[in-house]
Amino acid sequence: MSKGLVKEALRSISKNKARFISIIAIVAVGISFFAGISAAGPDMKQTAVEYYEENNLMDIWMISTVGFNQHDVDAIRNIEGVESATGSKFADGTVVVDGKTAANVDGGQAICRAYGLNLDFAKKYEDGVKYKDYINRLTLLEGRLPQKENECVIDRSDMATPKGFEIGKTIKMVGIEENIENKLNVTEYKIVGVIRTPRYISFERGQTDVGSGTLGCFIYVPESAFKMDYYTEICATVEGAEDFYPFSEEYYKHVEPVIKKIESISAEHLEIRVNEATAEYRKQLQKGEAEYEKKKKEVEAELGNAFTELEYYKNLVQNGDAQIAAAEAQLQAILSSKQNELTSGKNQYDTAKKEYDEKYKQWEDGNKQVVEYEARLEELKQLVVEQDQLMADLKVEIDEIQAEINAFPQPDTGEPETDESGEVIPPEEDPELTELKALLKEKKTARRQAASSYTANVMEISTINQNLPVAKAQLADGKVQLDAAKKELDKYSGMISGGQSQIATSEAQARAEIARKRQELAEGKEKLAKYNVEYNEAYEDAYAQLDEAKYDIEEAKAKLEEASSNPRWMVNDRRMLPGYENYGQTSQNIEAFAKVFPVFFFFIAAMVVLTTMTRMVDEERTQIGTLKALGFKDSQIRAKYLIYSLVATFIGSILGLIAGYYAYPNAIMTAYEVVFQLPPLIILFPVKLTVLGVIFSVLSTTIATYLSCRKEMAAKPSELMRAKAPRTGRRVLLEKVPFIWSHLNFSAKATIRNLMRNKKRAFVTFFGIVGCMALLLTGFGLNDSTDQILTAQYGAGGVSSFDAQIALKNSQISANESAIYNNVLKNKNIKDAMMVYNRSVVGSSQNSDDTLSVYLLVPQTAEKLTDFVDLRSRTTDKKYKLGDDGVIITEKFAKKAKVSVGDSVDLKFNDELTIKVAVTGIVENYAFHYAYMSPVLYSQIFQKPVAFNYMYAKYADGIRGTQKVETVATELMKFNDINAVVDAEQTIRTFDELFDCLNLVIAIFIISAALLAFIVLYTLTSININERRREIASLKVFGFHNKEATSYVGRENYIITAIAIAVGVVFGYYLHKIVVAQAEVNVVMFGRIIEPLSYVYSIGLTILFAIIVNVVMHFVIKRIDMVESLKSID
Amino acid sequence: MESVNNYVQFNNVSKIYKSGEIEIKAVDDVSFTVDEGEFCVIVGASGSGKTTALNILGGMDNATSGEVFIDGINITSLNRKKLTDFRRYDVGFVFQFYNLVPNLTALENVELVTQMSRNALDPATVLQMVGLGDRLDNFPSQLSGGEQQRVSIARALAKNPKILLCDEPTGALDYKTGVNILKLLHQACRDTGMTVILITHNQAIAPMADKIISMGSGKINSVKINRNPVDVERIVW
Repeated sequence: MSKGLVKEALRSISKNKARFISIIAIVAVGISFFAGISAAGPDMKQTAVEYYEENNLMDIWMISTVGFNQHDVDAIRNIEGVESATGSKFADGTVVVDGKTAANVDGGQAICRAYGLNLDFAKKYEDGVKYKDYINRLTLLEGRLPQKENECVIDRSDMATPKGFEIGKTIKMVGIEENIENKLNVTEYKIVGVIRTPRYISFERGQTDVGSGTLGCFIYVPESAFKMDYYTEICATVEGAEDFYPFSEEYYKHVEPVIKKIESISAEHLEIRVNEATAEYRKQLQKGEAEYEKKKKEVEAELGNAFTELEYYKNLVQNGDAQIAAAEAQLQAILSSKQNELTSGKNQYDTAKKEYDEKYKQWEDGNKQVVEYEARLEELKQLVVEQDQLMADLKVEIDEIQAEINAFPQPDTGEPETDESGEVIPPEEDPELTELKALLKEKKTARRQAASSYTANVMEISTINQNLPVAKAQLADGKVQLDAAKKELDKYSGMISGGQSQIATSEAQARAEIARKRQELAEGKEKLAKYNVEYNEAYEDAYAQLDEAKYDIEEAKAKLEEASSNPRWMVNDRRMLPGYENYGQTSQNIEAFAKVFPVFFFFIAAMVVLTTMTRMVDEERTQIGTLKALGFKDSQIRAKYLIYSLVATFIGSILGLIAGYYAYPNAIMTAYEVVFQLPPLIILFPVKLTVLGVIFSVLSTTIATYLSCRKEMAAKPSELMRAKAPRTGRRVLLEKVPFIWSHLNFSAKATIRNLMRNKKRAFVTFFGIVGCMALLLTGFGLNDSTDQILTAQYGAGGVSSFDAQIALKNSQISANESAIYNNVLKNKNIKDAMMVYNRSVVGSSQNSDDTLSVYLLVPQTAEKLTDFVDLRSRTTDKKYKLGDDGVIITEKFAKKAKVSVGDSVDLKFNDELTIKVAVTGIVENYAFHYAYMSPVLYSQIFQKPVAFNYMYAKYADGIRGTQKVETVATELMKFNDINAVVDAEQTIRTFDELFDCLNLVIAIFIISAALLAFIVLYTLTSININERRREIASLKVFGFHNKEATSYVGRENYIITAIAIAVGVVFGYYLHKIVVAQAEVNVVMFGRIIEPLSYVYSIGLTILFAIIVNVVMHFVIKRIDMVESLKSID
Repeated sequence: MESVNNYVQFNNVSKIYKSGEIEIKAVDDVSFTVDEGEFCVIVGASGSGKTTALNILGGMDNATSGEVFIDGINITSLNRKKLTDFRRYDVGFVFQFYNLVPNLTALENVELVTQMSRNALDPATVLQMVGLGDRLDNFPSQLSGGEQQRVSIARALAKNPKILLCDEPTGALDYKTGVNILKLLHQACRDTGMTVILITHNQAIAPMADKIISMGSGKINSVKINRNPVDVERIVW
């Protein structure tokens, strides 16, 4: 190649700066995307490699059911292949900070692990001395290392470290149903520093055998803070392990034989340790039991009086009402029996009275008769005397008259005593005689009458005289009877009046008794309330102490049981480290990601270069022809263009590589900061990737350049020197539709024909904007996805409809009998509550290798669960009910385990206990994974009742989200049985903060999209304008205003943009799905919905980019000199 | 067209390009007039300043000094927008290389201009007039050079401008075609009474004009009024 040509080639760069820069830019963007994302995975891995090596992460860690002694540690250290082994201690419990039990991000109470730290090692390490025995070295990030027993250092994970863990604060470790004081000399620690440890690379903290089973956080305290004399774990490093890549199969294979060797010596060592432990725990058991007895007595003594009193009043209060009721009943009974007696007495009295009355009447009758008799007798006696007199008088008179008559001549003599009716017709007798005779007769009649009456009377008298004594005797007898009856009557009458007064007395007595009892009850109630408070305080205290003793016993028993049943060592490689595999997997996911994305950018870059170079070659046709005519070889001429594109590509590659290597891995790592805690990312400049990237971009631009001048190279110089025949105007398909075509104006027609004429360019622009649109939609959609986790899980109408989670200190067997449950329900601020058993298990299935941490959740009753959790399928909207034939699991768990309804999942509780259960439903869920199991099924499987350790609560209306929440929590926390109350809104806030860092990723998407849109649109539009300068100049000569000229050219972009947006929406929709699936961390399921507003933003921004490019183009068009219209065709 | 009305006036117009320290006077204090309906030819060699003069006349370029009046309007005083409107409504332009929009048919190329003019003629009629009645729907690439130039002339005429400016209209054409084009232009001038100013380096064309302005090195060499223009057919080059 001649010197002249080289000069010319270089000069053409400065002559076509904009074009040169656009090639640099598109190549830079393409390669930065490729190299950046490709390097992110290796960067992450390298960071881990160096981190692990520097901080001497253990290769093997083992725990034992009975702990380890120094002998065990020494033996393991002496095993061939083991580089170093150290025993270390830890203790798990809940942790109190700011007076509250610290909570996990999921709202459960955080279980904290206190690790023992060898202060000497740690201090020396700070000074730069690296003992090989210092395994899992801590990196001090802030503050200082502990110096005293009561000082600790914490880690800093946004996700795992509880709120309130700050330097200067004091935290307190509290045992969960055990006495942590048995393990720790000191339980309160002042936080003095923040560290990072290689054993926890992610926020996952793994499992614990206390509480809910998930470890929430950890602290490091001086080893001297531990009371126990055995080690809980042994950490070991393997010789030569650092030569292998930590996540590789080779590495695991290198470690494997050492693990086997360790396992082989476990039996003999266990025996010794078991004996040791047995003795130890026996001692503890004995001590515990003695302590328990002692404490119990103390408690009883302490509580004795209070207890008796309390019991009395309790009894009183409990029975008081009943007693009163009984007394009242008794009273009634007495009254009614007395009344009965009274009634029967009255009856008898009545009978007696009747008899008496009868007798009295009889007597009265008799008496009357006697009186009558006597009166008659008297009367008769007088009558008889009178009649006797009368008769005597009449005799005298008769005698006198007779005498007189006799004095008269006596015709006759009659006998006076014979029949007086023998009338004798006196013959003319002397009237005086006659008169005397009549008189005599009359007197005689009277005398006869008197005599007859007299006789009757005398007879009557004799009769009466006869009867009267009888009557009198009878009367006397009646009187006796009457008196008897009267006596009887008097008796009954007395009885009745006596009964009545008796009733009145006993009623009065009973009523007084009842009133007294009432009074007693009222007093008793008052006293009971008082004693209850006093007693409860004493009781809680006393029983807490008793609990402590009981815990010791239980722990000792459990340990003894463990020691005797199946003592073993669990020797693990790093795969069992929480988050370890996840990190390796994540870095690989990103690499996979890097394989798809950049291809698109390279494609666009190649297309842009192709169009740019084609235009350049076009412009220099004549020159090419001239050079050819002058005798230059094709290769020499072509070389100029190749140099031009090569230089641009090379510069672009270098810039892109530098930017990409820094920007993308850092951005990705920032996004993952939620999950992973590592030292700052190590930026690698991988030679292979660099060479590959440069070769790839050089190759694509070179081929593009080669293709763009191919036609010119083949042409004869004469052809090239002649003006290039303008491209044929062609009719487009649309013209065949006159209805539409005839309604278009010329600019529109020209625009459409131009689009069709420059299909290649139109397509590049199209792809560029589709890419832009898709990236924007993905970026904004990602934001929506993270927002949806919160709203869809905890928001109104979300999956979890409870307002608070309450962690219980002691597990409760039955909800109804649980005092704490009833106490919570009684709180007027709590609308409803449900007891749950919540335990972390490892979920998996035979369909998948993935394992993940799942919460097994057993509600109080299957029916009640639906009041607190919405069991609904996201895809089908089907509502599930928890049955007794299997578990309902959450969506992401199902996805990871690759199971559907009807399959089964494995839930691993610990190394010995794994259950296999059928899946009866798959429900929508966004944060964490759950398996819901009915209490019935649980009891069937475990042959024991559910021990509830949590409570879900719903606030009364109008409390959620207000200040009152604090009050409710404070009220509930007063109960000794409640360890923690976590508000759902607090969980939302925590999550919100976590996902803030994803904004950076979204920003990357938007910037990439903008770059893509600008570079592609700008480059192609400027080519378009360049090619049509003469046309535009002519239009201006014709009197087109600048604006009209711009819209004449710009309209093409708008049409392409419009179509590309429509296509980009579809692409973006799917890209979002893919990215979300890649980006979401294990514990959450991102929302899958892109909100309408995000579509608006994405479309708006894309249009804005197009407008900005057109505005820039407007100024370019404005600057086009009309004089150019006079130039000949280039 | 005997009346002298100074329809176009070029008064002491200069155009000076500065390139560093060097000043190039493309047009150096030039003055001339053209009457309404006149066919004026400005002839000069390449670099004589004739194109610059035409650019200034057509409102495509600004004069450094001096004034240009067209139909009484001082176009040198117009702002950009007014100048654009002036071109839009009052100037017809015929380019050496036709400058047709390749994507529009002959008819559409004419319509492109007429649709924004005020008193435009019917595009089809004008195309008929220039002899392309049967090529209305052809694209430029389907037309010969001469035909393309006819479309270009039709486009210029159709907007019914005050003046018609032609920049070497025959420059890219063979002789025969060139003659036909010149005939067409002459005809248009005579038939419509339009003022035509044509620049060319070809001295041979000059005799057909009513006024021949000869330029060299940015100055006017001579202005000659041709009382008896030669018939186009007889012009040979």
